[in-house]
Amino acid sequence: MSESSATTRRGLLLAAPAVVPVVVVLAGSLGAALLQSVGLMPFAGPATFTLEPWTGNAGELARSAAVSLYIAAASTLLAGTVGFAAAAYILAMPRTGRLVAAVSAATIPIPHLIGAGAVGLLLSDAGFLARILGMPDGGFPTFVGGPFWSAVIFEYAWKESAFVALVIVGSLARSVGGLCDAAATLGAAPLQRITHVVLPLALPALAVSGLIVFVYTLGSYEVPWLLGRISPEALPVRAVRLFGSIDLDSRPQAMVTVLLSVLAGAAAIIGGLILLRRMRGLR
Amino acid sequence: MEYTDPDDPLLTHDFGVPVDGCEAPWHKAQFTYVYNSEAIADPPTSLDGILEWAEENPGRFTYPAPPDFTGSVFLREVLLSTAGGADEVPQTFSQEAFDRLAPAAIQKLEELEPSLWREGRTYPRDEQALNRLFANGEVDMTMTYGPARLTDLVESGALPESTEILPLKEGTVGNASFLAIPANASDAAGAMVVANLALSPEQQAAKANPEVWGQFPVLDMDRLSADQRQLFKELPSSDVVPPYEVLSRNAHGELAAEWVTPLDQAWRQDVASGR
Repeated sequence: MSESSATTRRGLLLAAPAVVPVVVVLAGSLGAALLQSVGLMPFAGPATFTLEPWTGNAGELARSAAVSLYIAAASTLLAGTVGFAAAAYILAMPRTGRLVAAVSAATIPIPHLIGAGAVGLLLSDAGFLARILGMPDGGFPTFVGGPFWSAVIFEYAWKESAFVALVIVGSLARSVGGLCDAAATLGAAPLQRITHVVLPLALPALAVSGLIVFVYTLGSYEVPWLLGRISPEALPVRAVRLFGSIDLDSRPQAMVTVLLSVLAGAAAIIGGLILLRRMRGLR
Repeated sequence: MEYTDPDDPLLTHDFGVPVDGCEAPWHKAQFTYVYNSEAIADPPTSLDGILEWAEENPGRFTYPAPPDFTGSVFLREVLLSTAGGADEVPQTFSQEAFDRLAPAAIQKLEELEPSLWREGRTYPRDEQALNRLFANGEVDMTMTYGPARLTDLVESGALPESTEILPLKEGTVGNASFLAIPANASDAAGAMVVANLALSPEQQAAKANPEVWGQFPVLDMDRLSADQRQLFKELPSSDVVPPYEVLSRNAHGELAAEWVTPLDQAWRQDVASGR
């Protein structure tokens, strides 16, 4: 009894230097954002409690939230699909798989800002792709700033699929080879091996990395700012615009936008964890 | 301050707020329209003409989205134009004046939307994005507060060689930049020395050289000695940018800062999210 509590205490002490600063910073900043959003910590003037920033722009906030959720969902879906396919290829093919693994590993260190700039240069109306295809004067579909945020989703899907692929490969590499061979000797076709052996084994890693990708793209700023439309805008873009506005009265609205983004992310995390636990319960 | 004109309207008010000696002027800026002379053979001479040209040539004109500074001032210029001139809009903000004058400007921009680049479904993020569209030949006009930079950009090839300034008959908005000392500055006296240096004719002339920075001086030429005036006469002239006197003909001052946010918000609500 005392030994397990001693180990717990030791474990907590070891984790404390990492956890305590995170909790302090998060609690402090979220608390400050909450206070500013209800007018209790104004930039100038007396502190008066008011829920106006929360209720005043409901329509705009709802549109921005919808845009953020759409971009996050589409990016996660694409990144998960492409990432899983890449992981299956890496595990199945020993030599060319290593090439794909190297390309995935090279994609990860690229910052999203650089990636967004590159995608912008590639897919804009007078960009690289448009010039190669010989149509700089119209006719090229609108990816950057287009109606479906296609350039934004493409950038996220590209970068995050590499992340998903490497997470899945890392969690599977050891176990999958033998099981796939066993399935082959039992007469399974290659596609059946993927859907009945690799996919179920990869599901926890896929789910966790998918959750990470979803929450990350929900709060990411640079890509929708560089490659997205002016209106409606994603939650982080709206927050930064209002925060940097010359009108200091916009500050509470910026805090509301940020907190909404945090709430959406928290809801996604909780929902995702519940789903994961249920998945583990079924196996 | 001895070399500046005390009655210069650009120096007595800073976005509608009287300066009262609280800031030291640094340089002047003039909002200018720029066009590609190869694409536009017969350029318009008024803002109304520009908007008419945009409607006749759909997809070849756009403006940066407010709250970018350049997009915001374009909004205010349209406001002055639809109101009937710079004298029709009071410099100080009042809700009554806003409710009376803003709807016409917003409506004008809404009507313009289908003729804009990408049919107004999106706008360039800022002045740099608009310049890139202009350089790529996707639009035939751009706008800027700092026309002096154009000389450099055309020389380096960033902008096409047929880039030219578009002067308007009714003039455009001009303003001045100021230097200010924070109340809790640790060395206010030293800061004041720097401000004096920045106002000296030698510094202003060096700064006005397009090869250095190209910012227009705030000094009054009549108050300078012949030698000091010579410093300015010797500045290299540019093929692209006419001298400041031409650019600032009929210039009007900025509206008060309180006009900026309501206009930007009205634009975002009615024009940007309209479609």
